[in-house]
Amino acid sequence: MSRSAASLPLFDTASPGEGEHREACAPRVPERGPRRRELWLCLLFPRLPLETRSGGEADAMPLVIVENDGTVLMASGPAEDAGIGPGLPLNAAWALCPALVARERDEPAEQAALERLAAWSGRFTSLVHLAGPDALLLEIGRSLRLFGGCGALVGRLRRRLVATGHEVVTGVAPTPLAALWLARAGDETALEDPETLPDRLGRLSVAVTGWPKRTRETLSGLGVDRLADCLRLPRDGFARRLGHGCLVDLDRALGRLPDPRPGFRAPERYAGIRELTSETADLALLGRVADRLFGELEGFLRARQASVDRLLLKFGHLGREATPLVLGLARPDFRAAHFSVLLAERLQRVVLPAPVVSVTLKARPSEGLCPAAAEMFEAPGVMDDSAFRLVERLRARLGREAVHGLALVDEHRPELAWQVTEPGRGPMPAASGRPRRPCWLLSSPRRLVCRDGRPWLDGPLVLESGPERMETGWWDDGEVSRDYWIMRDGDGIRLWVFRERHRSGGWFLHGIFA
Amino acid sequence: MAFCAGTRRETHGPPEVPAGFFVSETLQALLGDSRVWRARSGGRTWRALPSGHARLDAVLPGGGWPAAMLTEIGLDRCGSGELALLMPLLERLCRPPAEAADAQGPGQGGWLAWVAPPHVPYAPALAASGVDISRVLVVRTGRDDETLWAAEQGLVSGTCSIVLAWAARAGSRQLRRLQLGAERSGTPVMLFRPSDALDQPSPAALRLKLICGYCGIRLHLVKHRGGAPRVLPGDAFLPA
Repeated sequence: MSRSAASLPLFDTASPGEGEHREACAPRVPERGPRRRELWLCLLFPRLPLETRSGGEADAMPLVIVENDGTVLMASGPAEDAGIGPGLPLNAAWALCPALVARERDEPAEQAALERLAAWSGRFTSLVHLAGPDALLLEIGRSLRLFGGCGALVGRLRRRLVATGHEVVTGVAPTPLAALWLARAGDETALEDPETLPDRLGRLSVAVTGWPKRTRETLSGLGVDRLADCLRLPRDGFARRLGHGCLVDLDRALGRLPDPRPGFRAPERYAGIRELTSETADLALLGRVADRLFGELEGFLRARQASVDRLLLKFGHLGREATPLVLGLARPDFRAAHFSVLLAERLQRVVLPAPVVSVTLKARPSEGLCPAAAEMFEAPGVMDDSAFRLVERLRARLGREAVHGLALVDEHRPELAWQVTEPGRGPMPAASGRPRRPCWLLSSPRRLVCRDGRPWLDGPLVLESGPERMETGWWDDGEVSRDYWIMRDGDGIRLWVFRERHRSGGWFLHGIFA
Repeated sequence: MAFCAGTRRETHGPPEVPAGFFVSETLQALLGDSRVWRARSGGRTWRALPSGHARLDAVLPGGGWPAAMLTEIGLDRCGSGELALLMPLLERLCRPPAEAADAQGPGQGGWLAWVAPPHVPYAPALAASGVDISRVLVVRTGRDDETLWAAEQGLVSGTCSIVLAWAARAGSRQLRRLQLGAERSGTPVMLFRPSDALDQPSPAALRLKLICGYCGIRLHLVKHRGGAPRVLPGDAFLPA
């Protein structure tokens, strides 16, 4: 067959002796200046339909994704072991494996997952392009220096991608289409040298191009199975028989025609959802599912150079309202590992009203990325990140209000001279020459009984010093008019006691010197 | 048995036997057993933080509060001088590192954690005593096990200069966890408990009772590693 193809005028990269045709047929290649060479990385997610419908636990059970026509589109590992493969009717699949779980394909969810992955991969390059339903194209030529070469970049990307729970096939080539085709062919060896492009592409099967079925059938009728065979066909005949589009595709893949790709713009907010294959109340499993979302969120935040101080998780149930769970952070952060620790603490306290079928994560970047780097000059008293992680950890279990700091307020009324504040925020004021104050303050003054005109607390209180008159607050509703005394009780404990001067004239215990 | 600064664990070397002194081999073996406590050995001590009370420092092995161990303080009523006892230490921990070279540890500049205090630690009084209140971290808990959990978290995080915790009930396992957390992070932890709780055995390095009376406050050293129990007189420390 290749013999008959060779007898026709040729495309390019032909055997020696056919150069005159090449002169005639090759399009004008635009001169490239000293511009940095482009290099494209294709991320192909072959199991995306399965991953979006299984919450990342596909390998634990026999699961198939079903097309609209009732045939299997994709089968999970255990289902494949049972002999189920793409194209099989669902009934036949059930016959092979009675425990099979079948799910309809959810294309909008796949698209959303792909967009989240695009946002995630923004940390590796400034140009990400959504190429079809299951692939991303990243222009990495400009990122190579930063990451230390193509191999290092791809290796790092793969390691990070594991955290999001997606299976990926990569392809690297100087043109976007070539990268995509290499990935579809499963050829993960990076192709960095444009000179080898025709040779490497030539080895690929025509099926990787994604051309319409009719076109592929026509080609196979001509005995053309591989791209190398395509390249040997005459340009005008090729265009006439198969349409101009295929010719342009070939030219673009070989870098003869420019192939501009619009960049993906990440949305303002992050919103991710994972559906589970079945209802579960297993907190460890929910934690793992959430971890994958956190992994995506971290990439999203890194790409935007942003961090979040609040995460909203929702656990969806069947037939009832979802359970919301808010994770508040003491300091904005972007690290998935940190979110994961917080959630683990929090999940211990959460009571889920029903088993969970889906996990949703929403977050809105709030502040710029806060670098984890240390202070250049160690400043005493400055808290570092780990100090605030302690606050978050305690809050995750005990509740937000249970952990706080103290601050001084310039106010004469004792109960208003301090306030609860965010830990680490209370500034250190200048020491003022205040009268003596007790170390313990009762949260609200406690009324003391009065016997023979003297305050009584398990016995008579003995006056030690006083009074300190406090008459203030008449300008707002909290007017106080008190005489404060220091008294000792039967055990010798010093108490801070006041007497109302106006209203009731009663005695109150307000503090304890300790 | 020589003490060197920074040693956290006591060494259990063979005891020195005075030259020319006959000691049977059996006795020697017995003395070499680390379970045998010798009242006059005097060599066992800990890395210490000066308490700020000279009379107390003189009694405590190492000359101060154990810097990386659990201390239990028993008191019957709030206000028995427990904060006056600790205030010089808190103030010292808040000094810039250059001034307090002896107070170095991983928690330098970290939180002063108050876990489940019985009342509000009154910020103006703390500030007046020289405590940097921006470093005070107050943690409220509902139960004793949460208190001990939070205290342990504070220790293992390595971000606290000191952990103060109030808990009525604490199992020996929980106390051991606190002691281990303190040793690992090099952070002192002070656990306030009812006096009678100190009758139970505990892995704490130092246990003392505060007994408040009309004539003053007495300090009862219930246990300190390497020393005998004793009662300190009322003027061992004076509340401000």
